[in-house]
Amino acid sequence: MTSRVSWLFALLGGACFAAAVHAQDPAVVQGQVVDGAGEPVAFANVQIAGTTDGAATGRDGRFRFATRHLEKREIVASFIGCEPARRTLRLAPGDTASVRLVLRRVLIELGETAVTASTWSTGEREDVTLSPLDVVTTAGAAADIFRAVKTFPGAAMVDDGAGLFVRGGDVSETLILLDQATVVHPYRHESPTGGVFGTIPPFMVKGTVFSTGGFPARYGNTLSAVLAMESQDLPEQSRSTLNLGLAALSLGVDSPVVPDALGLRLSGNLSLTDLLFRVNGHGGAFETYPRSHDGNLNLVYRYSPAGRLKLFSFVTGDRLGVRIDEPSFDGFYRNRTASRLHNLQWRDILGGWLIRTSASLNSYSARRRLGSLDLEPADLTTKLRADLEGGLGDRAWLRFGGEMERMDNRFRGTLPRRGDIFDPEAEVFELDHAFAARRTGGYVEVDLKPAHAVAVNAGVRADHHDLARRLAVDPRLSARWSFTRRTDLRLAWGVYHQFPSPMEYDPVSGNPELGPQRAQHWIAGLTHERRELMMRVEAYHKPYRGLVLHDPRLNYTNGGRGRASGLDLFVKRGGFLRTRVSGWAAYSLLRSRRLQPRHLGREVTYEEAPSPFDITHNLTVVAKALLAGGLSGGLTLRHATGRPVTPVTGAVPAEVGGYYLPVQGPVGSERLPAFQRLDGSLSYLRPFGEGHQAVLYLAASNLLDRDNVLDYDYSLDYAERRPRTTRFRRSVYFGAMLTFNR
Amino acid sequence: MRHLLLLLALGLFLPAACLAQPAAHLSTAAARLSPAADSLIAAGRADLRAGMNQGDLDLMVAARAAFERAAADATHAAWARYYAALADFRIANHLLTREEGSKDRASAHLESAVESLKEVVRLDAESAEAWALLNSVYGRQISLSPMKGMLLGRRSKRALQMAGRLAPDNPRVVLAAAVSDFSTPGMWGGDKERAMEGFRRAAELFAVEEPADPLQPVWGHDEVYAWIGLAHLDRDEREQARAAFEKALEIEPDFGWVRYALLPGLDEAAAE
Repeated sequence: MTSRVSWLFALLGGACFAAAVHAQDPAVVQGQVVDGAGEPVAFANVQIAGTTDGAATGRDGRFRFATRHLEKREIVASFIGCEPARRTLRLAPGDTASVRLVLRRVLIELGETAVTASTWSTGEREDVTLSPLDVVTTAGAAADIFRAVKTFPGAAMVDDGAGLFVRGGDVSETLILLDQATVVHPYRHESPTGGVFGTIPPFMVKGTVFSTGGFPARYGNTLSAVLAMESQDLPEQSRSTLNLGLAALSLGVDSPVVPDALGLRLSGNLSLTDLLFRVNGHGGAFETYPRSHDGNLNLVYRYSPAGRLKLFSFVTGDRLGVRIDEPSFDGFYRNRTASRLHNLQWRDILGGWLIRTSASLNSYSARRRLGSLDLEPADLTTKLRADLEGGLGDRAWLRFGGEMERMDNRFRGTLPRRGDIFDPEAEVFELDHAFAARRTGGYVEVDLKPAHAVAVNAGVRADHHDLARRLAVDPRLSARWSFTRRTDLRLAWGVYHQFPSPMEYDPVSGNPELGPQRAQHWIAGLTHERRELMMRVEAYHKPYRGLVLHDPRLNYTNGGRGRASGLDLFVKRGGFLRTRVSGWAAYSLLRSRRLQPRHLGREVTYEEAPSPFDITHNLTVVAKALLAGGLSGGLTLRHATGRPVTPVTGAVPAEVGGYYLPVQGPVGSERLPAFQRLDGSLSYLRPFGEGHQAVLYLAASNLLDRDNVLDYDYSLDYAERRPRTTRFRRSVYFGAMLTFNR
Repeated sequence: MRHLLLLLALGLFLPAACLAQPAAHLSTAAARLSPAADSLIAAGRADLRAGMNQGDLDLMVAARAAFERAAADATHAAWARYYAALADFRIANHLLTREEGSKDRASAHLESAVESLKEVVRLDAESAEAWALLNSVYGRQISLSPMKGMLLGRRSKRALQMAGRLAPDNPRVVLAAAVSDFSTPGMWGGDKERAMEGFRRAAELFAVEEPADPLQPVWGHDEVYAWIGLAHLDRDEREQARAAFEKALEIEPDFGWVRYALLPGLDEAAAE
């Protein structure tokens, strides 16, 4: 009996012990970690949240580990560059739970420029053409983004200004963007060739992308090129800058109001060129020396790691008065303008999709006076834009979005009845016209990586313009094949449309039947990179049709056509501050022809001839060197074939007013003399105090004192022709910039 | 009868124990099954070292994963994060020197290292090791993007000042200061003479270093001789450089940086 009782107890005890042991049985968690394309992720970390239980995946992405952390548990897989993947499992003792965890990449590996042709970069990253440092250290750029961009291939040197004439296209064919907003008036001291400077200061901009063709479907309503700027993010430290130069005073403040959450950047610039022109002995032609001011505000609110609200505002104004020698009038051209851009941008990552939206308002007003011309143009452009992008696996990236843009133009004032007769006594007509147009566009793009060395961007966009009452559809395709580790081939094709400006649809002075202008881009290029050296050659062909053409009967028609073909070469070595000597050389060969009017007194005929911006050879060499200590220097050499001009071979008297009408020779049958310019710069950087810096700089423009011819002016009867030459002869500019960091 | 009492006691105790303290049982068992954070760190350190010596990126990434798991244990979270940052730093260096076109990936690791080290100094503001490593990571970030030097230079300097104030005789702190002196241009406060003095002092400190805590970092003794060699090379003193590299191999015969990069480079230069 004793024995039976003892065995009974032993049995009970054993059962209880077995139960206890069973309760301690671990669960096994096994599975695989893959990326969006289903490819295994090797050596990712997998663990039960809040515990050390876990394992690293093997080369096949598989893992297996045992755990006694049972019940409801969260399994987390993580890998640098990926969003952690989480799954909740209910683990029971002795169970084997299988789980598949999908890691989504945080980094955009198939960005636009992974495949985009014709995007030129001085940096290591292709998605940034120019950094602010590149801009301010490029001799001759005068710390101006646009002027610095003009040192890249494809941008023709038409004059000393900042206007971007790309691959035979007019300055109006380049789209300028800032944080998704269209910058309608991107130039200060505007002129028919763009303007003298850009409006956006370089240090308000984080990076600039310049694409001279073959750009993807997200960019619409532009025929030739895109310059896309992105404003700075949150300031990481407090900084104040003071810049005092021969012609400018600038102040800037960066303040992380709430570190990593709310930041403010403010800058203000005042440019008075009186002293600059007087010191250099030029500027006799000015009645009012060019003056400008601008104020910029960039407010960033980071409410989550990926969520940002950004307000960027700039206000700018300029004025000048300069002597103009026209056939009908020898007097002063006076101009003042004011321009504002306000853009509110929101970006976040929601459900694995990067969302960027913006609402912008761009206003502009000016008053231009020249003899009988007294015009006050004003416009207001509002734009809403949204872009979404996200991965469809690691081999595909989808991007889509839309935009709605409304443009309101108003022109008031008096205009000479005959467009080129500015004599104050000439017959004029009063003008007070308002125009409005709305464009709505949408696009979808996909970046594909069908094979390891191949990347493709395919997209299509559609734009509707309410005045044109037409839909323009633009399919685009570009591909990159990296056939060695250092060399790749890029091909691109696409259709590009651009609608005429609203005023050209006016029933009286324009033509309401105008449709969009159209270009096709065909591009093939090779890129070779080796450490500090990058070489790129690209050939392109760009046929145009439907270009807006002046017509004596209909005012305007879409009868214009043309083509541009050429070759761009780019060689870059090193990087400023990274290598002692750095720089790049850009050469463009261009042949561009368009159908253009030829004025024969009272008649007009049309000829296909070299386009006004057919710069056959365009060479730019930019060199920068760290000389010694904090001293650095740079040189920029530019040489460009003179642009075509149409000679006037005679004149006939106008029916009224005693003026003459020109009789032109063959269109574009002569060329201006070659444009040449050599610029140099020196800067000395000296740190002082606790992390503060002082930079002393000296810039010498047009060192060879070339009297570049920009155009020809004629006497009243067109019997005498005089060259109009540059106002930027050899000159020096110097100043100092102090930066205080806290 | 004694058996009976024994079995009775056992029979009563076990169910009671099972009922009364199931959680205690499980947690003890779990503790035995779950890898201890310190052993994860030890294994990770060995993998990281081996990965560096063999140029095996996978091994370094696996080591990083081990440190990440160890960070879940609050007791050793600071050290686990420190080593995760060290792994990130090593991985970034590997990517930048051996795998072209990996700059973005390397930058992501450096950013991760900064985040980890900020967390370490939040947990333990007096971690001189963390401040010193943070200085090195900032230095590497500056080398990738000189434009960032204006911002990160100050942070880097501040991190080094903190490290120096907390542990002026820590050899890794002295090494970090010397590397900073060596790599920073003169106009920004760098000084190669001072760097050489620092390397030598660090070498002396490494020779007598006796870590009190098994988790405390011990890396750097071999590395300081690699830097001494580089400093000699910078002065065109090739024989002294070779001697320093050989000294590094004496300390760590498998030291990959010296064995596969620095010494062959010296030989190639001599052949030319």
